[in-house]
Amino acid sequence: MTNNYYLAETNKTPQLNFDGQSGHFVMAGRSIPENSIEFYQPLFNWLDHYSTAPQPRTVFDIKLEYFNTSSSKCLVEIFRRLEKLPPQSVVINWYYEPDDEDMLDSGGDFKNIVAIPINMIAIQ
Amino acid sequence: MDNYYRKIQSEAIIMSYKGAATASLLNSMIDVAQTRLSLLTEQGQVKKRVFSILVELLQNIYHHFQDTSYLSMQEDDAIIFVLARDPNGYHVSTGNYVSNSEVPRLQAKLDTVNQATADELRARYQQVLNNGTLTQKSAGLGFLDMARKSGNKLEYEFKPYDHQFSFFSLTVHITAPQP
Repeated sequence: MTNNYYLAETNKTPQLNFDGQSGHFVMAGRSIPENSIEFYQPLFNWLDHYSTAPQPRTVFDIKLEYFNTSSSKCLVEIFRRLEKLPPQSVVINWYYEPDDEDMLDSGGDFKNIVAIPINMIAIQ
Repeated sequence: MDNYYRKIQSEAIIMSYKGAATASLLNSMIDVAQTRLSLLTEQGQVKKRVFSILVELLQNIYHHFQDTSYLSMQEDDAIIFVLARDPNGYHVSTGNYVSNSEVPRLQAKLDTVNQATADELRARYQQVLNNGTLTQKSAGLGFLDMARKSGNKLEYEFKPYDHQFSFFSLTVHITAPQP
């Protein structure tokens, strides 16, 4: 098991850069795979392992351009794993383009159902 | 006939397809649609909405592959896809065969979505997202998401084909300012 989980961005899947040493996680780009579970399962497994010995502080930056509905379920699965980390140790940042109200709404959906505070950040 | 021609004249097809369906073909259609959309002079938010709705629609067909026999997906008229400009904005239509046994469930889902207010759609979406289980098939959020993003009713029709299948067509309208 490596300490990092990295996947390069493609036109249907986001860059995943989960650094287990710094606790800094990044998901960026688009997430529209036909089979989202297949794509995200290895990351779920990696997070299960990370949560056994997490860093004192975990920061998750999400900068998505698009995501499909099956990816939104997988995002919830990721958040559920982060909810298991010590409270106050996790920060989630949800980035959106200022003119993209749909992406702002989507961030609001997660904010409503996830126990970790989510910061909504307009990209300057 | 008169109505038909008026309809054709008032809409401009950006992309259309009729034919057999495979997973890789649906994938390529998403890529082509993306290129076509990027060439349009249109508000970014509208383009994003059209794109994300057409991704949901096409991937919905992909998830129906499991319900329909593989052979029927090879037929010349297995699926239809239309992306067009119309006086009110854009619309995306797909058509595909579904098992007759699936029709009541789909119809009930679509009717529920169409009767919901914007606030109800949001609440229902969050509820499914929060409680639903992760399954290999569609997340059960597709229709809710399309209705929410488009702000319009989902137009649908089930045409009985034979004892096993019906042809399911679905159109989503995305409102946009006049060009």
